[in-house]
Amino acid sequence: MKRWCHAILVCLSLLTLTGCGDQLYLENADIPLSVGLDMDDEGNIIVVYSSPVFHEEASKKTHFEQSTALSFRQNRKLLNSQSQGNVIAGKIQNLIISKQMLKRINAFPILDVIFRDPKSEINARALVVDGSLEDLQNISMEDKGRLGIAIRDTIDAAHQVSSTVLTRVIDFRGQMLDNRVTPYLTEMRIRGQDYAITGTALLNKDGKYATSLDQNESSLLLLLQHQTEYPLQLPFTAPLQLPFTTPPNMAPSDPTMSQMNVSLTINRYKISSDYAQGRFHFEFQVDLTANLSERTFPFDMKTERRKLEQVIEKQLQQKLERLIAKIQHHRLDPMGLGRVAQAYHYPIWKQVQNNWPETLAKADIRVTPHVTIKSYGITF
Amino acid sequence: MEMPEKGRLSLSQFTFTIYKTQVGIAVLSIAREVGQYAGRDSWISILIGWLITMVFSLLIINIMKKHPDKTLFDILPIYFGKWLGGAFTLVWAAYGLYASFSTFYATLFLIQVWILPNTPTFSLYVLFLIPVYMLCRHGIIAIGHYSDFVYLFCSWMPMLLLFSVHDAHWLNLLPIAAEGWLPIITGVQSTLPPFLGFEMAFILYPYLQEKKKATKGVLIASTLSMMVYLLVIILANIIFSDKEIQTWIWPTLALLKPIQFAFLERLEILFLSFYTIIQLMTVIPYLYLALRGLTQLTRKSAYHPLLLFMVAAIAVSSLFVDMTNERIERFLDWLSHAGLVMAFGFVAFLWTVSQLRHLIQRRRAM
Repeated sequence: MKRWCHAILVCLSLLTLTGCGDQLYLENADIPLSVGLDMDDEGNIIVVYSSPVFHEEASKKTHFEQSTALSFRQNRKLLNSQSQGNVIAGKIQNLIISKQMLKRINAFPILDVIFRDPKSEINARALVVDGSLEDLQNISMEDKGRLGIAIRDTIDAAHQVSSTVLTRVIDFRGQMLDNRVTPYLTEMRIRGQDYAITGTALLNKDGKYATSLDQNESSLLLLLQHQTEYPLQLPFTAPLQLPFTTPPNMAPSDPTMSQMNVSLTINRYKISSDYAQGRFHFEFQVDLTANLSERTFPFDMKTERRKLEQVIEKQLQQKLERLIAKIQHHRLDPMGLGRVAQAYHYPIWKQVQNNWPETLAKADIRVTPHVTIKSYGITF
Repeated sequence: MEMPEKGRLSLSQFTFTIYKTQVGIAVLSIAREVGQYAGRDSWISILIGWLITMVFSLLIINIMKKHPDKTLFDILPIYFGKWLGGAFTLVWAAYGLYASFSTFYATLFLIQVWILPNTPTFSLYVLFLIPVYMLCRHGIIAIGHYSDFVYLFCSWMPMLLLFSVHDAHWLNLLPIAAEGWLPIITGVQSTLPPFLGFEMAFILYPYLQEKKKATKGVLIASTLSMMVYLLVIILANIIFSDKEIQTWIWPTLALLKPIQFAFLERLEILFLSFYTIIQLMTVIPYLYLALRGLTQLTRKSAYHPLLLFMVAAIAVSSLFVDMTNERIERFLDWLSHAGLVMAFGFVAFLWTVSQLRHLIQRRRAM
């Protein structure tokens, strides 16, 4: 009797299981891998997306869809009615925001649906695109595979060689909500049938586009942010004062004959801070290990190594200070110096926290890099 | 009155039952709830909350020591007489019922939001009530065994959170106590409800094999809970800014969401699925507590029918009560208040009474 009771109970509970009630065939699903956001002249939001096509009969592998509405979610409804299957937002690999839109409005409130829906993919890479999003369709994918995956992989690869920052959608949210830092996103350019990562786009505290950094400046920003996941790749130019000999038939001033590239890893990173005479003072003290990866001029590494280190130190300092001046000029703080100010100068921070980028613009920021060349490969 | 229980609880079962009752739904939102008062100093608040909890756990053991073979419901009539004692028993039973019901609702709501939005509520309720029924039916020894299992089976879960640490800003924890100690002390009030569950010692104590180790057991249980909470709070604070923590309803799940392995995405689903196992370990002991109280008031044989009735009541209630974000928030809020009164207020009161009684008895003996 007891056993029967159990059996019946089990059967009853199994009956209530939904099982395959809400099954989803891959062929019927429309899974955007890349989603783009733009704005038309009337202020409506344009959503563009590309998704892979799994139908055997379809000749094209990628499917593009575009719609215009007042919000992201309204667009999704429109897109659902345009596309063959159900639009599934859970696999988005990158979120592309147009630069034109960022120049006009703060795009962050529009992204609300991404954070509200637990199913959405908040690891998607956030990037800014210079150019019209309609050009996404023109990118030739014959040698690349799926667009969304290809863009994601390009961003990750560019980040590994320190050409750009890596900001996921969730990181972007954190940057927007934190008043101690201003947002930074990967920047991409579409030209004709191709795309390329150009560096980093910096947004101001209002979420609007402020300025762009090229690839080398992006490396320097990663250095200031202490992003040490990957070594930083940086080019330097050997100045004429260096005791190097040029090959015969070449002028020493020939620029291609005085290049070197190093990859830098951070050994010690310290920001000392002070508040005096009504302004903040910050000093980055960075000890770096350099690996020489390329040198196009002959040079005696054995005896003159320190001179080369000094050249790198000096140029690095100049470049960093130029970058900082640019950042201050645009009233930004992608380095997150606000965190330092809050942690060590709390009473003053409380007064200036709502006006932090302005305050930082007046601050005195110095960098003292110390470089040691650890290795120069297998040739002298 | 002794329940028909075979066997006794080992120290680990005693400890883990309390520990797993404590770690419940609160672990998901604790960073926000303490953070709204104490901000980046939440970790200090949790340490203070932990100390307070330990004091109250010791009070319980102190009361129980005087009556080594009795549960709370056997003690209440001795102290307060039949009627008042009965009234207190009823209040405790009501508290147990409320705690288990509201935790169950909250768990199921969470599962519906995060994992199974399309599954009918009723069938989910029925499925989750089966283990509740089975464990409660077999009483305290089964619950003790289950707690051992839960501990072993889910001990990896806090470790998983550590994967989120790689873009942490340790500076977020500075400056310490910049706004003075008042916010930290205010924050302590919301660190106490997550420690609720130590009052389970009232029921577990008579079954413990070696009574001398009870003190050790309650202290270890609260310390294990504290470590989990501390980990969650510190991680949330170094990864999110103050403001951002307040924007997530469940900051702990937000910590998990970005973690991704090459072979696995949406880790929080895996986490939540395992988490239900822990959650049931909060629902079941409280339901058991309530049923023990109710059988005390009626008769021993009423246990099984009452259990069936309660389980059926939960299942049927799913058809009538629609859960919303605010309702769950309100339920858990009331539970916190009730818990503060019952587990902290009542324990202090009972301890005072037992001390006085002890004193008077000793006088009389002299």
